[in-house]
Parts: sequence; structure tokens; C-alpha cells
Amino acid sequence: MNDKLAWSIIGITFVINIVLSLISGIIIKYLLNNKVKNFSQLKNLNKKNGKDFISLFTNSNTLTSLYNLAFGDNKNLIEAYSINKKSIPKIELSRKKKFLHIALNSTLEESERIAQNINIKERVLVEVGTPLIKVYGIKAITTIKNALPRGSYIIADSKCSDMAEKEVQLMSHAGANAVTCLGISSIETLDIFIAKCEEHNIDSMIDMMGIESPLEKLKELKKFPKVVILHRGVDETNISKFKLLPYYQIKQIKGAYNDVLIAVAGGDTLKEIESSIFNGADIITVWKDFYSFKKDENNIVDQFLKQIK
Amino acid sequence: MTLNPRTKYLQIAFNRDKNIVSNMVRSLPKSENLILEAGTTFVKEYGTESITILKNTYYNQHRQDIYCVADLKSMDRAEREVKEFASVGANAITCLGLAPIETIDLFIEECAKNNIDSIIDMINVPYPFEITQKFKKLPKILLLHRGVDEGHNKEKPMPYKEIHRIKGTYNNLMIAIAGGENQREVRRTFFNDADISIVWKELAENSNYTKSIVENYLKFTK
Repeated sequence: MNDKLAWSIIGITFVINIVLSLISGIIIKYLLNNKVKNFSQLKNLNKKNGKDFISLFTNSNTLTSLYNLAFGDNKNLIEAYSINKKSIPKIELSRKKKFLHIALNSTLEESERIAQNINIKERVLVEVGTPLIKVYGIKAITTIKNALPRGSYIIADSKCSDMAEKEVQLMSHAGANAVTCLGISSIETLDIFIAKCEEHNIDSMIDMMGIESPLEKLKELKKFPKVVILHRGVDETNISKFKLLPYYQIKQIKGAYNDVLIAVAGGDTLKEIESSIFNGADIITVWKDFYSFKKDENNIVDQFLKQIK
Repeated sequence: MTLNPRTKYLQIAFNRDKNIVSNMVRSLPKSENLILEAGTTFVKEYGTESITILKNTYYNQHRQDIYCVADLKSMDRAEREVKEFASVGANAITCLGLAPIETIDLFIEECAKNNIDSIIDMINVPYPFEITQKFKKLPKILLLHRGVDEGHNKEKPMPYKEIHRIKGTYNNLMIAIAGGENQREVRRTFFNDADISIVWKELAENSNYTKSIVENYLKFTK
């Protein structure tokens, strides 16, 4: 009787082993066939962290990781493979601090290099710029997120102007902590955008580029966004040098809405940054110094951070 | 590829997952009156690949090039966006009519340089004339719009009355109308003298019937 029991246990274990091997084989085959890009991304990520690619398969989270890699969305994928990543305390926007917002707009390779080299601090936000999103798609967000320490704050400058629900969902699933929407969009779009951002637990940012009176626009909304971006576009700045940053609007909006933060974009000189802070801006957006990789990004970040204490 | 101002075109906007979009494009009929559009969210999801998906899938199915629009809705940095999408074979790109005038002028100029058509999207613009008067050069196409989100607000009418006013003033400007949701609206669009009618909703909701829906729409382009 004991012999029979022992043989049945051995038999069952044998069958379970075969089934497990088959399942792993199918998953690995599926991954190799369909997710090669993710694999190479993963390989780079592990190399960056000084771990061998094989260590992935000896990790205790292997099964969860493999499942996420095969069937999960990008957000799960990033979380699953950021096990070995450096982390920083989670950044949350508040009016009590001043933030430096670095916009990455060059090629994805260049932006990834910059992101890998910036020493992200508590008051630094990183933006994946509109051209990056339009040229590379949401892959731009996942790549930059992978290059930064865990806990970093990523803004997807998607400049949404219609179909807000789908766009917020896309950017949130890719791992963004905040998404931008154009203030010139219809009120319907803006209301849906703010509501969907709340639903996805990410911050809503309304970009007031091209709007003469942001305050009037804000009054029409059902709910207020987390951040209002006062903006002078890059083309505008290059061609019409006389156009000024709308500093006077900062106090106007902050006086009317207690919880809204103000970001100022379009001025990159230290003098313009000083003026923005003096006028009460909470977030300062810069991009020119971070367009191409220069190795001294961290000095520039420190310099800006000193300026916006 | 160029558009003939005397021909009516049906433009189909795609905004779904790339596998669904590829299947839909495969089932499209072969036609000279068809334009494919990589919608804004499709572009933001897949980047420049969105254009290659549309162009390659249609070519592989019908051995015929197709006119492709990248609905970028540019608002700034027009130069870079135009160059990137022209390089992957887009035939036309959109820029927002509410963008700063510097951006619009640069956009139209850059499109001409890259030999592709410029489309100015008048979404949320109550009086398109006020904007067109400021242009240094005219774009190839003016897009009159009721946005998808605005579509929930049934009080907002389709901007048909603007078509004749604009065509009466600018001879060579083609007019596209977006925001139509069914056969009746497509017929009205062409009846009101638009050159291009943009559709998406009925197709997105019934992707299995793409061929028959598009064939029905195409009848109105004759």
C-alpha cells in the first residue's frame, strides 16, 4: 500500500513537472516571438543595474514577471522590472515647494541618456515632450521612465485637444504621473480631461498657450486642474522676440484659486526664471539646456534649483 | 501623391489598437477616392509607425499607394513634426488653427518644403475667417470640425454654412469636414460642397463591417 502511495506521489510530481515545463516553454516561445523589443529593453535595464540577464530567471519574482511581460500592460512591465532600480521618495506636487520641470524634446536615445545621467532630486520633474510622444508614441514615456529612478515624476506633454478619455488612459497606462491638455480645447474636452485624470489618479495640467485670459477659461470649467501652465511657444519665442511671458497672470490665477499650482514655460534664461519665481510661479519649465547630452546636466540642475528655492 | 480639387474624397480616421486597425485597412475596398488618417491618439500611441502601418497594410492588400494624413494637431515646434512625418511617407499633416500664428506660418512653409499638404484644423474656432486672414500663405486644406468630445453636446451644429463662405473667398482651398457620424451626415457634407468627408465612429463601432460601410460611403463621392 505504501509503495503504491509513493509511486502515485512520484507519478503526480512527474506529471506536474512536465505540465509546468510545457507552460514555461510556451510562455518563453511567445515572448521570443512577440515581445523581442521588450526583451532587449529588459536586457539593457539589467545591464544598467549591473545584473546578468540570466538573473532574471533566477529571481523569485520570475513567474509574476514573466506573466506581466507576456500579458500585462506597460505599467506592470515597468513596475515588474524596476526591482533592482534606485528609488527616490515619491514626488508629490504642493504649493509649499518650488519645482524644476525639465522638458526632454530631442531624439529618444539622447533623451534617455540625459534621463540616465540626471541626478533626480526631490524637486525635479521630468517631461516627455510633445515631439517625443508624437514621433515615438507611448514607448517614449516607458523608455524615459525606465531610465529614471523609481519614484520619479513623469509629465506626458501630450497636449491633448480632443478624445481626452482615451489619451489620459494611454498616458496613465504608459506610466505618466501627469498629462497636459491644451486650454484652447473645447470645454467638453477640458472637463472630461480633468475628470479622467482624477479617475486615473494622475495630475491634470492645462496648457494656456494661445489663450489671452486663462482666468476666463478656468471659470468655465466644472472642476479645476492641478496645474495651470502659462506658456510662450517655442516658435513664438524664436520668431516674435518681443512677446513677453505672462507673469501678471500668475497672481491673478493664484488669487482666485487656492489649490491650483502655476507652471511657467517658455523662458530659459536665469533672469527669466528669477522673474517667474519672483512673480509666484510654483513650477519652472526649462528645455534648452537639456536638449542634447552634455555631461554637466547635474550642475545645471543644481544651479536652477538654487535659483528657485 | 496629390489630391484633385475636383474630386470628392472619403477620409477614414483610425484611432484603435494597431491589430484592429490593420485588419480594418485590409478589408477596405480599392478606391481612388479614399484617404486614410492616423488619428491623434493613434499617432500618440505608436508614433511615426502609425503611418507605416496604414501605408504598408493598404499597399500589401491592393498593390496601390494610398494618401495618408497624420493628424498631429501641431501647436508648437511645427518644423520638427513636419520633417519627422514627411520622412515616413505622410502625404498631409494637420496643425491647429488656434496655434500661434508664427507656428501656423512655419508649418505651412515647412509642409511646402517637404512636398506634403498642409491641413489647418479649425476645431473650436467659431469664425475661421478671422484666422485665415492672418496667414502668410494659404494651406492646401482647411478642416472644419466638431470635435469628438463636443459631439456629446448635440446643440453644437456641424459647420456647413462656413463652406460656401470660405470657398467663395479662397479659390484653391479644399474643405474637409470632420465629426460626421453616419451615412446621412456624409451625404450632407458632400451636398454642402465639402471636398473631403472624414468618418470614424460608425467604423470604429462596427469594425467587422468595414468593407460594406465604406462602400456605402464611397457611393456619395461619385
